[in-house]
Amino acid sequence: MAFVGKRLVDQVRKTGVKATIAQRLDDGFTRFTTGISWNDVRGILRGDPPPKPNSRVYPHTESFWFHIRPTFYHEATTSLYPTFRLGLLSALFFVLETITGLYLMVFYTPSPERSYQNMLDILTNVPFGSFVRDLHRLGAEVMVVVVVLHMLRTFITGSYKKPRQFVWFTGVVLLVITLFLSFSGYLLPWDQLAYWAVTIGTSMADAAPVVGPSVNLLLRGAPDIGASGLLRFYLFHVILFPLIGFIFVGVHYYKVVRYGLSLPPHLEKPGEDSARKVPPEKRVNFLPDIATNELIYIAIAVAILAIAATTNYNAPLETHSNPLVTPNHTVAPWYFYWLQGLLKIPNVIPGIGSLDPFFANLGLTPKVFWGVVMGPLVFVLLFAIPYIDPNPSRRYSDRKVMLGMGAIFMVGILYLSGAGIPTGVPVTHFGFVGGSPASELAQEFMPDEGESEIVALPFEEMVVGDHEARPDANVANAPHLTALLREIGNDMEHRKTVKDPNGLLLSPEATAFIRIAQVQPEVKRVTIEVNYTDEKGAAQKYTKDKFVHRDADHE
Amino acid sequence: MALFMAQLGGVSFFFAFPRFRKGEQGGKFDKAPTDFPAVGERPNADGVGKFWMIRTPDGAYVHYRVCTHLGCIFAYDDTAQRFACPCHGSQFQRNGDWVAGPAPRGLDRFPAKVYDAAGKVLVDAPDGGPFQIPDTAARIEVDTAKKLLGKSHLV
Amino acid sequence: MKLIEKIVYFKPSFTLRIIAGLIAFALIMAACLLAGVIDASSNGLAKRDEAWAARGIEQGAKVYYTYCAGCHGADGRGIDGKGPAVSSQTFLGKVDENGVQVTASERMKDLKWQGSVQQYIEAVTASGIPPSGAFDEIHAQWSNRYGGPLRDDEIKNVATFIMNWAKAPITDGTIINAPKPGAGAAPKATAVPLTAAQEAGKQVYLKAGCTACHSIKGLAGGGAIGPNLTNVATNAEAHLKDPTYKGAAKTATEYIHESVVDPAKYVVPQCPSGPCLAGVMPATFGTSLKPDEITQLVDYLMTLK
Repeated sequence: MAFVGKRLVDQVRKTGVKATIAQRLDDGFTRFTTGISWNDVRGILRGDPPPKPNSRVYPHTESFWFHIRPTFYHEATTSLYPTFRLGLLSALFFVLETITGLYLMVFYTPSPERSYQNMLDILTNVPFGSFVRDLHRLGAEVMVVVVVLHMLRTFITGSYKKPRQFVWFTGVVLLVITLFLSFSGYLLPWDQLAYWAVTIGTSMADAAPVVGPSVNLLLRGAPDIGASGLLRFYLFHVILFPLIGFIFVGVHYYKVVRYGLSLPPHLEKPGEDSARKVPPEKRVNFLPDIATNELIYIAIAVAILAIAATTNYNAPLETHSNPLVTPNHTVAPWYFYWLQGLLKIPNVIPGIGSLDPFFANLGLTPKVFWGVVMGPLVFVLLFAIPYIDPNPSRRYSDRKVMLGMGAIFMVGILYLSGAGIPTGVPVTHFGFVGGSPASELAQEFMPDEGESEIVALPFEEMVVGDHEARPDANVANAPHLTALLREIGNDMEHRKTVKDPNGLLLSPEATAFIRIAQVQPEVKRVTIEVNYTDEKGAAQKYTKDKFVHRDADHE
Repeated sequence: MALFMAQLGGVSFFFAFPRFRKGEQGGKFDKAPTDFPAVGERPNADGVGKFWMIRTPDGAYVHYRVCTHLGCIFAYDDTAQRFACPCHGSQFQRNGDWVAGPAPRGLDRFPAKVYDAAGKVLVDAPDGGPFQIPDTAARIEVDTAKKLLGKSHLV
Repeated sequence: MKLIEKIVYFKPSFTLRIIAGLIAFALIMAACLLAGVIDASSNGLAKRDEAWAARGIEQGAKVYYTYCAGCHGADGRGIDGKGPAVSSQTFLGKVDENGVQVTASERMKDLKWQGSVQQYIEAVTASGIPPSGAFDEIHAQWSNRYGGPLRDDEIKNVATFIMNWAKAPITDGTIINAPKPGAGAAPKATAVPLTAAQEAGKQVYLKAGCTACHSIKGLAGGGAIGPNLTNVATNAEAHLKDPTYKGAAKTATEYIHESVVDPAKYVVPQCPSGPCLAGVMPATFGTSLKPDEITQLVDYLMTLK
């Protein structure tokens, strides 16, 4: 018994064994919760009001994890409005991406020779591989949306005004980091989609005057994207931007807590910042109320993401990147569509006339102006908002001009995003980029990359032979093929009568065929062929073919 | 919460635990009956899977090429008709029994399954042999994922 | 507005939070479990493995029909003078549905190749074969390591595509087999020397650019877009008897003449890289070549029996 402490023995003598054990256990428990004893926890679970002294605030000083969280919130900020907890959601997604990214790092090597095969292995030879990859990809895309919504909310509630200008500043930095993280990760699968989207994006850097070519070489490590580029983008994606991101999240959140969550505008007098002066009856303690609120919010968000990844969503993987072949209709990632749209702004604007003299004066080509100057200018504008806004009031009725400008900005970005897509904005067709009607028809039904209706036909319905595509086509025992042939036939009729945005019509006697040949017992060759007459009257033929294997499971 | 962490642990484990395709070391290998030499002849080695294929009067064995002492790849000594490790001199008989040297046990083996042309299992050797290879055998599948420890000669 | 206000100002009670939280956690765990179960089932990992392997074969087919079919034939039977069969049982052996070699490859035995047939195909595609005399051209080196156009994954895909024939390799019909090692070129039959007119026709053939699309055994550098003309005189007879032939020729000579000046009249069904396409052969030779040049050309082509 010599190793048993004297104090323990004395305690047992004084209070008995049972009481000693109870006290020791309670002591250990309180250390674990950094200050909340067992009885106090039971009080929390019962829903008791906080005791005096309030042990529920101890973790905020004793624990590292809680030290930056505020001890209490103003009760007006605790419901869904005004923040919609978007800041929390953004931070959650950052953490989620880090975790899923770490999992993926176990199987990925950033080398052009290995990366694509690594992706295939993750999808086909790693349990949960497809799940984790889908989570990561979906999480990244949702994160961009959430972060933009968060910025929008902050703008609408005017929470960037004095004294929170720097918080907004760090927030825009985080937006840029998020976009760069998404963009650098986009390259890593090393398929056609990744390679060409990133080539387009970095070529814009190359176009910048003076520093462009050097920046391009720094980013890619070589004139074109290759092994050096992949390695550098991997390091950006995995170390540089996450590190900067974590630092700025720290700065951003510290400032948020320092100034307090801004109250709904109608509760504050214009120009007054009362977020920190919270009368005791309006205080809501972090533990347990806000903490549990956050936990369910996080749980619901992750649940939605997990269910989406398991059921419907499948991250795309196209064919292996080919530096010599650019697929038709190559686009930037969707959050950069607006940049692509900017580059399509025509030189002659109806109502204003030609912009050429304007560009000549600046000494810049239009593409450089719109892509390299105006693109980043959008971000400069975003940074500047709190510093150029003179209005001290946060109330919506006092801020009509600002809110109006914000709305116009969002609409503009959306419109330009539509223009960035090869099919252009619906209705106005601004931004349409297309070849001849015949090639567009073939591209629509058998795109260079990605799934297509023709290739997705059930294998047995791919009847060997030549099938003409007409609105009244009929192939025995092949309902999907028949429906598709009719669809193509109708599409052709449409293209023969309605001019495409370039003003071209498909020639009236044009015909289209789907020719199917057997190559091996389980492999068929499918060709789409459009015979038409071009503007000069010469007979032309546009063909495209793909091979289809019975087991390839095209959608 | 505990259940959730447990499941997270499970997911992480299954995710990270490596799987091997056929033909990779750690996976299964298909060998032909002709890959196994005749009784008394020099054994054949598979470089990728790291195993020796040998036939003795008792039957065929598949020995792991890594020495049971400290991990060197041992060779076959034609004059002595035995396996001999160049690192510290451990020696093993053709059937894997330890003869001399610092190795603590005989040679480690891999289980094998013999299939005929139709895919039926003719012979199954889950303990590593010795196993017969009938004339109708079409292929022998060696599973390098399951290493069977050799016979220990220490007390 | 009232409904929206109710939603955004909603403050859940403690019990509601606990219950909602538990349900959400349960959903997350269910989703993870489902992902795991699906992966383990035949509909999960195994199916995706199969699907992506199949896509690899599709990509291999694309490479094959772009680069290989011109010499090895659209169905892998080989083309006389250009390339041996790659889909024959002699070359591939036979493989069962599990991918296991059940009949060994005779060709690998002849070559004393130690590895698998797939490895042989990958090696040869990548680094080529020196001239053997049996074929007009060497097998070029295709790997981008040695100056060719193909990446490693493309070479692996095309080898997998070719091996896919091994489940049902061809054993009948015209198969061009590579000569056994050491056998060298097949002894050339002493060619009947061409007359002056036929020689002139050969020069017309070379000058008019016919080699861009057509191949003749013994003439280097033919293309694989149009039908092989090595036996065109004999083939012409066969085509005349074809019920789909709608042209005006009655003899082989007339047929060849028609094919040169009016190719759209009849398009032969099979070309080296796949079905022959109409409208590819220029219809202008009737005017761009002088009449006596055309006669010499037809004379020369008629020697190719």
